[in-house]
Formats: sequence, structure tokens, C-alpha cells
Amino acid sequence: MILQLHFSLNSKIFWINKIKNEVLDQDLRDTLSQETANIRTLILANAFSNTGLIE
Amino acid sequence: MSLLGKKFKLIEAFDQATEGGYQLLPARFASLDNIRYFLSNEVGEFLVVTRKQLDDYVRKRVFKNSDFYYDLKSKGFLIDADSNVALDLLALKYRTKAQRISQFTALHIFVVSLRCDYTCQYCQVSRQTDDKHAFDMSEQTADKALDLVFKSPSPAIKIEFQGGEPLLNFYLIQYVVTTAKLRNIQHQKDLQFVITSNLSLLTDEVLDFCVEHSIFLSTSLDGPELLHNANRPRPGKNGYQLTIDGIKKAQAVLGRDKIGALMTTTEKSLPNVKSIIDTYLENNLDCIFLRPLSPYGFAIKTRQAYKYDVDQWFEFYKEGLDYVLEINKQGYRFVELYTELIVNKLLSPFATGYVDLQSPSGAAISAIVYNYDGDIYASDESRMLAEMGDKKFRLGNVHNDSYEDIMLSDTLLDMLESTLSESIPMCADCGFLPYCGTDPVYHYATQGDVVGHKALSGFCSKNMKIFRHVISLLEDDVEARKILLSWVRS
Repeated sequence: MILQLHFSLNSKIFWINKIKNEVLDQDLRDTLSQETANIRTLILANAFSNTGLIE
Repeated sequence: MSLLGKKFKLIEAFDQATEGGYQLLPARFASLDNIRYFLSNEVGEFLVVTRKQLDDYVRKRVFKNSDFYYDLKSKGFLIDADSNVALDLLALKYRTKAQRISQFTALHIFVVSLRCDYTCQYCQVSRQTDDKHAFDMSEQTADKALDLVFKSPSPAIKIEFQGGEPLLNFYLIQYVVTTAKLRNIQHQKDLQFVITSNLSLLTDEVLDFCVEHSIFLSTSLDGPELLHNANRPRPGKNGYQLTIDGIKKAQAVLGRDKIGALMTTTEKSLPNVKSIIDTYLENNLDCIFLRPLSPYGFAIKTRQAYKYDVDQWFEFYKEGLDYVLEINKQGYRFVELYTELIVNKLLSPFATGYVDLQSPSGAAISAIVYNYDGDIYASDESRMLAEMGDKKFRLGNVHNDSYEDIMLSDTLLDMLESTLSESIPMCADCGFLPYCGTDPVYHYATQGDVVGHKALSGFCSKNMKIFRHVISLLEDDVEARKILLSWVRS
């Protein structure tokens, strides 16, 4: 089954921009999460231990 | 090195342009409006930024001597060669926020009777008529429940009596209070009591007992007479008058700070938020909690829960909060409690203990419920669901199960694991995560799944809207910010 959606020009631009922003957001989230994964683990490990893991 | 050198760093230390960039620290973000983003870190520090600033931050293009760079650095969003305490500090703040988990369970709810003299359409517990003693808690059950209460590691214990109408079993309330105080001589907990009542049975005997044992009262006041009586019908159609009389009597005998009221939003409440708030003001109540209906119990059976959606409720909340802020601007301190809670979470490193806004959820570790028949539930919502016939969140029974059986049961541990927002799809990436939580019973009741799909979640939608609104007020409205901060500081 094919679903056809019809938009006015204004709402078309609105939705295209919204989707573009969402893609950019997810890309930023991916970069943030990959780059900070190890350091997050380190912070949590230090938070829940009495050791000086960071040193 | 000179004496000055010991106190101040050398000039080179401030010339960060010569250092080799910065490293990102764990952070999340969410859009605040069409042009701004809300950026938060693991411990709840936050910044409101533009899309370009967000992009520059993640792509490491922030100019090192800019104000934005120093904001990011001081709030723990990045580290550079000059940051030697940032990670320790973040770990310490994280530990402070998580402190509550080691001191579980502070709130113990005793459902002393399911009987009630009201027939509220939205009641979240299926009440029984007031002549069925089979729905009252017995002394034996209360004793067993108290055994469990005093096993909680929490240094502060609050015992809350609920129903039905708990004053229909006032004898048992007296028994629990006196027995708990006697037992507490050994345990030395900070022990408090609350009776949640419609106040229709508030006699001098009850008030004397409340004075003697410093008991707080909490009641329901839905607004002006017509609305209150329509929402909360009782034989005689005098529910409003009885509640107001009870509030006044309690204020006179116990003091204004010992009696509070809660409202529940029905479809009829939606156009009346100002008159609801006026009713609170007229009766010397200095705060209100604008609460939507919960989708359990009679609210489902009578379809009350489906009569408005999140957007309609949010407009009601927004209009109410605007009015509350207006009242404050005129010099009268009046607080909307959910907003106060959110601002507290945004600006303080300490946990609030509010069951629904925690990760993991506060089920059984913040509040636990002992039903009239001895069944134990992870939250008030869990027993509401059980009254509808679904006992998924029943943790055991005071007569058959030990404390260890209950607190280490698969039912509870699975639920807690499922409510760690940090590992829930969509929550894990959300900028509002440090201040939010998840309600497993709500999602189970509305989506048939404890975690639920957040894009379809009324809980998520409601809280996102509130976060965005409150943060925008803090950022954009100087007067509102002053008022909101004064609520937190006091």
C-alpha cells in the first residue's frame, strides 16, 4: 500500500527543515555519545567507589 | 617561586590558545524552541545555547577565550589541559544526586480502609461502600507492615494514611501512630505522619489526636463549590462545605502549615483555573498542585481520563502558572508545587524524592504501599492498577514475605532496571534527563509496556512541555525568574 501525503509549499518547507534539523541533531548526539562513552564510565566508576580511579 | 606564585597561576596558564584543544564531557541536549537548545550534563548543570553554539561545541570549534568557552568549562561540559579537578567534581556531584538510592524508602503508605463516603467519578482507587469492614486494615496487618517500615535504611520515615477515606478506620490510625512511636524509641528515625482525608469525618477527637502527635493533614479541594461538588459527589451534596469547614478547623487547631490540599483536573476544571486558584487563596492555602488525572481506577471506568489530552491540560497548567506568578508579583507568596519541584531539580544538586521524576523510578525505594489486605505494592499507582484487577506490580504480602523477599523480588528489581532513564530509548539522549524520570505503571497502563514508546507517551509529552515552559521563563522573564528562584531559596 502506498500512502501519498500532500503538503502546501509552506508546510513542505517547514517539514523539510524539521527533518533536516532532526538529522543534524542525531548526528551531533552520535558524536557526543561516542566521544564521551569512556569518560562517562570513568565518572560513574569514580562516583560509586571510594578509590581514586581518576588518578 | 614568589609568594604570589603560590596563590596565582603564571600568566602562561591563562593563554589557552597555545594548548591543544578540548575534550568533550558527557552531555545531552533537547530543543527548547525554534532557535534555542537546552544543553545539560550528567549532573544537571545546564546552558541554553543556539544551534550554532551547540554545533561549535560538539565539533570543537569554540574559541578558547570566549565567554561561551568559559561557560562550558565551568559547568563541566568540557575539559582542557588546564582542568585538573573537573572529573573528580563531576563524580562527586553525581554521587550527591544518587545519595537517595542508598537511603531508601522514606514514604510508607498505609491503605487503612477502602471504604469511602464519596463517589468521585475520577477516583483512582475502586472504593467500596462504607459498611463493608472487610475492606479495613487489621491490627495484625498493621503490625506486620510496621515490621517492614522500620527495616528501611532511610533515616526519615513518613507514614501516610490513605483510603478510601482513612478516617473511617480512625481506630487503626491511632493504633499505628502510637505503636510506631513506641517502636521508634529504639530506631530513632525522624518519624512523621500524614492523614490524607476528605475531612468529612474530622471531629475534635481526630484533631486532638493530630495535635498530640504532630500529624499533618492532606485533603482534596478541586475548586469552587460547583466544580468541587460536581467532581467529588457525596450523599447530601455538601462535600465542598465539609471540606472548607474541615480546612478552617484544621488551620485553627493545628496551624496553617499542618494542612495542605491537592486538586485533580477534570474536563470541567479546564476553563476554571483562575477560580480554582482563587478558592485556594480565599481559604488561606498558600500553594496548589495542578495535577492531571491519572489513567487508573474509576478514571478509566468512567472514561474521565480520556476527556482531555495533554495539550489541553498543558494550556490549563500554563494559564494557572501565569496567574500564580501574577499573584506573586502583587506581593502574595503563592506556589505552584510541580513548578517548584522542577525549578528545584534544575537548580539544586539534591534529589527531591518525588517518585515520578527519578531514575530509577521511586517505586518501592521512595514510596511503598501496604494495602488494607496486607498486599504490598511498589507505588500508589500500582495498587490503583491492582484494584482494576491487574496485580503486575504486587511485591508480596506482609503476612507471607520477608523484607528481603520484597525488596529483592524480581518484580521490583526488573521494574527498577526498566526505569533507568539513562538506558531508555529517547530518554538516554534527552537534555531533560537529569531532571526527569519515568513512571512504569503509567506506561504499562497506557501502552502495555513498562518502558513504553516515549514518542507516544503522555507522561513524556507533559513533562517536556513543562520543562520547556519553565526553562523559558527562567531564561526570558526577569520577574518570573525572581519569583521562581524565591520559591526554591525558601
